[in-house]
Amino acid sequence: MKKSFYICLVLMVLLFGACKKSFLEVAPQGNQVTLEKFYNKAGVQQLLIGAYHDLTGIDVKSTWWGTSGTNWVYGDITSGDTYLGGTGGNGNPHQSPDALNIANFKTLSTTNFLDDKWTADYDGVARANTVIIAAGKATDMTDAQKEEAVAEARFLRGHFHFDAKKMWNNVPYVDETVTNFSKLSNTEDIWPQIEADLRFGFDHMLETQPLAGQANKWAAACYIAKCYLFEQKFAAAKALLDTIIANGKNSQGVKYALMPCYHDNFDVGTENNSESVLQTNFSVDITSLPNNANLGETGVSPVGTAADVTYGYWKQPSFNLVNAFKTDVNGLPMLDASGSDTSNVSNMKNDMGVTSVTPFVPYQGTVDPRLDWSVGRRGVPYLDWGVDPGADWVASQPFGGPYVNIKNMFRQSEQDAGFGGIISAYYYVGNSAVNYNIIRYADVLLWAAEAEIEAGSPDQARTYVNMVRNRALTGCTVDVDNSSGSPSANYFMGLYNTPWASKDVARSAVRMERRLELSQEGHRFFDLVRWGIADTYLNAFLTTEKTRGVGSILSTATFKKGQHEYFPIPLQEIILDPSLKQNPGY
Amino acid sequence: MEFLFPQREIACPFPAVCPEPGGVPHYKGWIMKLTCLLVAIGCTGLQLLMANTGKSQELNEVRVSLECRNEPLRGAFTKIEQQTDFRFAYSRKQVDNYSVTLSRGNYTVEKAMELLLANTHLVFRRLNNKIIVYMPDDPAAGGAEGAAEQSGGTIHGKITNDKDEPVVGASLMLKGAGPKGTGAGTDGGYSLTGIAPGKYQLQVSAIGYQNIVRDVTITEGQTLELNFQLKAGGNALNEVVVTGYSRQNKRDVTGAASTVSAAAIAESPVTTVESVLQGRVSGVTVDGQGGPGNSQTIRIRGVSTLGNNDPLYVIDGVQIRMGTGSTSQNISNLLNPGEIESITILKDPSLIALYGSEGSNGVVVITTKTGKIGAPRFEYNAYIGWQDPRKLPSTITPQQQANALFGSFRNANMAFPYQNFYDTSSGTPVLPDYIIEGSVTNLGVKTGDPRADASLYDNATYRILQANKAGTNWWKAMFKSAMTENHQLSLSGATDKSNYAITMGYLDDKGILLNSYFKRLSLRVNTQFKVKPWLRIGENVELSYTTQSTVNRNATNEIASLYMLSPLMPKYDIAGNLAGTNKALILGNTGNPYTSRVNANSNKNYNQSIVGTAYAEAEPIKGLVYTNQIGFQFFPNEYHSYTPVENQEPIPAPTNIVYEGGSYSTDWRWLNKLSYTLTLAEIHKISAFVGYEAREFNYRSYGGTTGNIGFPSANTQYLGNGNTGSGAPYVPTVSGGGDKVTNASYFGNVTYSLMDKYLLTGTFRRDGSSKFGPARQYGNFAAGSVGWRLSSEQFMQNIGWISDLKVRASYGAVGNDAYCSGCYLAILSGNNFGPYDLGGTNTSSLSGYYPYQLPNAALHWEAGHSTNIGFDAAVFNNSLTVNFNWFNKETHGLIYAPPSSGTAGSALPAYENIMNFTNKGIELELGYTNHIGKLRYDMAFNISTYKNRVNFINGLDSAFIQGGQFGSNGATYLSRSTVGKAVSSFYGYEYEGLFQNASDLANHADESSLGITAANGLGHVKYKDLNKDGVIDAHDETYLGDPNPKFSYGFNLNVYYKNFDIGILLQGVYGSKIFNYARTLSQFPNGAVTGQGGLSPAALDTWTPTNPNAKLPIFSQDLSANDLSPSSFFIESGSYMRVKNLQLGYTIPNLKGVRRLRVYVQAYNLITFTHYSGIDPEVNDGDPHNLGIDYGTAYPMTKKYLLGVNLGF
Repeated sequence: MKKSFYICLVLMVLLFGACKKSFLEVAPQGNQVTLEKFYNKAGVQQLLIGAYHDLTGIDVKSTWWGTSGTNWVYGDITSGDTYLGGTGGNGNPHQSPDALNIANFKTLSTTNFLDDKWTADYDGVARANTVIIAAGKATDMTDAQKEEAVAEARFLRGHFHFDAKKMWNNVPYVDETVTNFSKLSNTEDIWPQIEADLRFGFDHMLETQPLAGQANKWAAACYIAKCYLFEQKFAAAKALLDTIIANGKNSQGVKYALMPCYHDNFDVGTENNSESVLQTNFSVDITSLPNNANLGETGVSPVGTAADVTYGYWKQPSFNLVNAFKTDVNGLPMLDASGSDTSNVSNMKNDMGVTSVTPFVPYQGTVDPRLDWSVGRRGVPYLDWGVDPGADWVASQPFGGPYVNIKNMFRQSEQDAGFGGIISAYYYVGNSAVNYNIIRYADVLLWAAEAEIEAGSPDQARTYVNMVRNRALTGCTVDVDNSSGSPSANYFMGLYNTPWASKDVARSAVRMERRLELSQEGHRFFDLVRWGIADTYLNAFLTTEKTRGVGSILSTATFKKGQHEYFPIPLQEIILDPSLKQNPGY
Repeated sequence: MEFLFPQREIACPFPAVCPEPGGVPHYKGWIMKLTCLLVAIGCTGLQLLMANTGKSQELNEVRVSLECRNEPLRGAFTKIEQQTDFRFAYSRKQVDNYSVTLSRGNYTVEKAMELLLANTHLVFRRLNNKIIVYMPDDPAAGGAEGAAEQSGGTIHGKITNDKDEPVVGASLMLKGAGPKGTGAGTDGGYSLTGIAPGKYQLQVSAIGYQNIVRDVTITEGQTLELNFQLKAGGNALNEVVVTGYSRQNKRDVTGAASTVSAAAIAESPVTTVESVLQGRVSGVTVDGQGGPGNSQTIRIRGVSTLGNNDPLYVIDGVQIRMGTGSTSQNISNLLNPGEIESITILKDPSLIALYGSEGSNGVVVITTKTGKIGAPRFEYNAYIGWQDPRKLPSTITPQQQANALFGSFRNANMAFPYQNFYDTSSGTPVLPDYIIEGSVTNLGVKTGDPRADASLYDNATYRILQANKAGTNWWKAMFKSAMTENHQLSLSGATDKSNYAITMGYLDDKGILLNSYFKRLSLRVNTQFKVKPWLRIGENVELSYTTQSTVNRNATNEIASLYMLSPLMPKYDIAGNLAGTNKALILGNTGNPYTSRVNANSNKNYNQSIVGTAYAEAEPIKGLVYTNQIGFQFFPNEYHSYTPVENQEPIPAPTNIVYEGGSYSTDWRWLNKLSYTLTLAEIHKISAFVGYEAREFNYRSYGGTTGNIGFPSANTQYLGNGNTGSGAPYVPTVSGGGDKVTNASYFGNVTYSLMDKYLLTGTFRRDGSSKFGPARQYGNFAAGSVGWRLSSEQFMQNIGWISDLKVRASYGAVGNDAYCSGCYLAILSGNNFGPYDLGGTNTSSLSGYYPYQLPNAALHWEAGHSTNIGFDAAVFNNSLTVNFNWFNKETHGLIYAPPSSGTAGSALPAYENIMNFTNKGIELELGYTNHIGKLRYDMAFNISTYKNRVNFINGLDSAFIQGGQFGSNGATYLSRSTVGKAVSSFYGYEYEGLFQNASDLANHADESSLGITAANGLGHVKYKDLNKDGVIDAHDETYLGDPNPKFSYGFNLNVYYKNFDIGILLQGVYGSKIFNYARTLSQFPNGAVTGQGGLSPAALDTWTPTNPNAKLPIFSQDLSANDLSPSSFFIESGSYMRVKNLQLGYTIPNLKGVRRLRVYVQAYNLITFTHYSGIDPEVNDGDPHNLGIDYGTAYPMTKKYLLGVNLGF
């Protein structure tokens, strides 16, 4: 043996010794953390925040519009209140034919927005389930703390399931035990499970929460009431709503009450107020950039309101909606003695086809002041952005009509203060921090009115409706523009001072009030469906539309009873889980 | 690497299987060596062994096992020769008289000789590896050599090539009574002495030359002078094949491998390694072109996984896996093809098994040039030329465009929404004189309109463009002839103690696309030193630096955008700024790619790389080689881009933006290998090695943006200079990420050859990867092969026309861990989809986490199992070579994350071992060399075919995996992989024509699920009701074709006459299908991403009642009637044949002081024969889900015309 051999041998031994068994144990790099790290109080809190995030509708696969937590694509442009708007052209990456097909009741199971929406709802469910799993394994939490966390997560899980239920009706229920997603059933009614989740929330959530954006037990109570209304359980709804109206508080411990100004519900400065039951707390901040802003309605604002709003041209209020804000001699909505809506017999005067430089005198008839907090129209100040110049702020009148949306739009002063607009390099102009009301107290009062009509006292219903109307007529109208010599708006509004003639009239009045109070807040289509009037109402609307100049995009639309009440289960989901059954008609 | 594992005979480490001539096994002589072997295995892991002969060894070190029972002394000498490398020299007259007896024992050679000669008058002495035995008192004995020379004959001479240059290192083998061989020295001279009288076959061989075999007869004391002139061209069977961690003579290889020589590489004017391979080797498909410096895709025997299918590259022993682990590197960034000595493609498991997991897609082994013994050589190779796009799409005029658009609304009974752009008062659209881009809308106005007043112009809010009514041909604006040049200098040489090769290269490849280019500066240094007789140390290092600006292949790249851009747009607006489109639908619904390309002048991608290896090889005991090798790769990357305000396509333009980012990856590998080789009784050649390898990959990336830079110019575009301008404040952003992967592997290999006829190989490898869960980290894989050289059998000796014939078979498995790190875990992310403003602040949000990756703890190694049966033959005196393979490659437990249902949320789906599939096929390579008088020629033909079939998906016959994602939100799928079909087979409806009239609509199955009804259906697409249920829906979709070619082929012919040479390479595929979805970009009014901008001339032939036989359906804006469902309407043949390369060269003879001077002209991609209507049939982008799909994003193929020179002295 030579020296050289021993040298080699020593080297080999030394070098081999350098390699330990742990060599192959490598943690995932970057901002990715394994689930085990969340089995503690702080971790559960962070997961809970992640679950709340999905109220925005903006998840990893989100397409913004298609998944918007405000549901404007599914609840508004399908309801007769709102046109899709825009230029009507197709092909804009952000203006997919999907939205147009949805507006035209030509939704196909392959419509991409639907799969995105499905995924967004169930992503919320998955996040809530992750909270429940982590809370169950947390080592530094008391049982009470765990129960609170689980209750909040189950409340959110209830919300997301509810959102899916009203979209598709036949949907699977997913709790924290589900691991196989290819054999789920959607044929069982999941109302009981949704209610159970919300009930657990009501039983175990705190009344007063540390953070303004958190839901509390009363939010859960309101959500249960909402379920009852969707299930037509009016007696149960009435009982629960009585309790809520008597004792309900927002998550900061403030008793539920309508805010003095109608617009306080859509203003950065007055968020999470006494009227807030459940809000999506949008923000414009660097941390979440841009995913905690109201991306789902980016571009919904009028194009001209701010120099930096570029996508803005969607969700334009319809003639039909604007007409509904006309008031009669008593300042009431234009319902005839039988409760039929007559507001649409003729159009409110408008600037359709009128350029912005051509002089125009706005409608001089009386209108509900909520109109100008909801709809941007020629000659009337648009929040603090200046007087709406009409056509210049509209992308294409032939496609979207002369009106633009206001709800959820930020003020110029709010943009200047950083609550909206451009952030950084992104073209996410129109980013908004204005919160969206998933449920607000006016909504709750109008449910109560419905419940009273069906299972209680119509007069009590009238009281609730008048509460809502009273706030609208006393609180804060838009400063009308008098620069042209004649005022741009003539507000006149009254209360229902006499009992309604019949149950039908009462229903009409309440439904009209919901429309006016909650227009473009993502509820209308689902209301029409649960009232069972979607087919008659929408087909009547579509017939009228064909005479109104923007009809070409709706010219071939028909609402088919028994089919269009619910959206088709996304084909992609059926492909991936063949046990899901398609909805009727698709 | 030339010196790393020199060709050598193979020795046996396991004496038990190597009986000595007497038939009695002898163990003891090996015990010591075996002990070391075991110690080494135990302590390190291992390494290869391939022993080296001819090392100086002392007579008192080398041991032999001997027993002689009164037998001739010569017989004892033979026994010693059999067990050692020592050779005896003696005079038979002096030796033949003695018989000896020696008791059985283990002796040193010295001791044995002393004992053997004890009772004789003979003495011995050693000279190199000779033991000279002589009579001390013999008159001639004064010169020991003399004594030896006298015994037997001598052959000497010189070996040169056809240019009379010495062929250094050429080897001679004397076949007869035991092999006797030597090599040619620096002057080409050789000498073989002490040849016992008799008849022999003398074989002369050298790499790159054809073998010469000659019969010689030598008598006692004769001295023969034999000079040989070798012909270039070589004999494929004689080439060296670098196989797993070793190299073998190709004639001994029992697996499927193909080789491309330096000569072939030299004749391709290509800038990338991939293109060297195209058309030259069977079983390898090369596809696509991504612009200067971008990679083409290489697939060895088809797609083998749904993840990364790129082969493993092994450059001088350093394993480099491209495109994985987040590295943006591609092989052309690292390597100048001019440095390559040879490329070997390892195709079957017996060869790739040793590379383990990384070799599962096949291995491309690249050996770079090293110095050869002799005077220093200097070489300069260069070419210069230009290139043009092979084909560009044609466009239509703005008026045709406007008419088509106008008609599309009329056809849909819809109001024309662009009345403020085109004046339609006359009933037809009139082109505007000016285009006004504002924040509200885009207007078309006439000359004199106050809105076109130049004083209103504001680049950020109000742009005015003079409409180009004649039409801008954006394709011509974007693509131009471009120069390309390449220079390479090299210096190499070697002595018996060291060798060196230094190569410098400079490439400047200007792309045909505006401002696209690839520049590469590279330096390679290969050196090796023989420090001690038993120790070699060396290194190979490549430094390269590339700068690049090109286009990616994403769906909205600049090329796809070009299809959509309006011809009415001018290049510049009235203020002379580059025109932006405002991303308006009417102008193309896209940014202006021309504008972004001009600005791309400031977008640069810098890649540096250091790839190399350093190694030490020690042979402490004869035959036992210990190798310690460190391989390292260091890839820093830097990216810089600047977006000026005028490129902010939509109005308003916020601010200028600068982005700078970079990444680096390090990858070190450490190999310990112990190998042992031996030859027993001349007929058993055995070699074995064991090895251990560890690897660690680290990656980190970082980047930032800022904007609103004041006085923007090249010297102010820095991240530190943000918000120095007067524009809107810009909030800077930062980004970053990383990855880390470790691997540890143990492996071993044994090869055994009996009488050069029967060949056997076995390999085992145990691979560990950090990517799997603790219980699943290791996978065990094994391979084996057998070969039988029929031509060496006695019964074949009479078949004169067969020079060599070998049949072989192999089977084996390799693992694959190519998926993301740690993805078996449940991973949560806290990025910006997690935080929420739970506090209600409006300007901040709280940290929130969400499920990012769904887990699968049971995930295990994907395995590729394959069988290969083939033969290699050389016939007609080696002039025709044939190489044939049949293979069956099966992928088991393919790792893939199948799309999970949305019901599971939006987290990334869990990875699963989900699928099995096979690639079965055959490959044939033919080579022929001959001459007609002074005209020499050689030709090579290859053809390969494979059939890809999915056998299993999650145990469900009905399951499938979707591919070919298309559309802005990617929800249209053009292909599927399912059981019984090829991976990514096209899927959709069968096109049946267009609806011509109402009765046609009434009689056809209901297409309302596609939005086509009686009310709107005229002129729209009719699909086949496959299930005959009267309704067209998802159940009528079917498999529409296989994107894989039926076969692919290449043909190469080289002709040499006097000083001229001419070469041609044809290459093609047959029977492939292409899903030409690029047509949706410019032939339809309502494609998923179409605007109302650009159109192709094809869009003028659309259905109207008066044009019922149109190629395209009615041009209609009725969005609900969708003609774009994936269907056979879009499927075309992808067959093509190209004249890939045509070269004419002239070598200027007899220049003083010049070894070689050759000039050539060359055309590349000269002619393409195809019926494909898109811009090129090579559409693949490397993603197995996108096989055969033309997304309209491919960089057009170029033609090149070059003038080149090769100079050497």
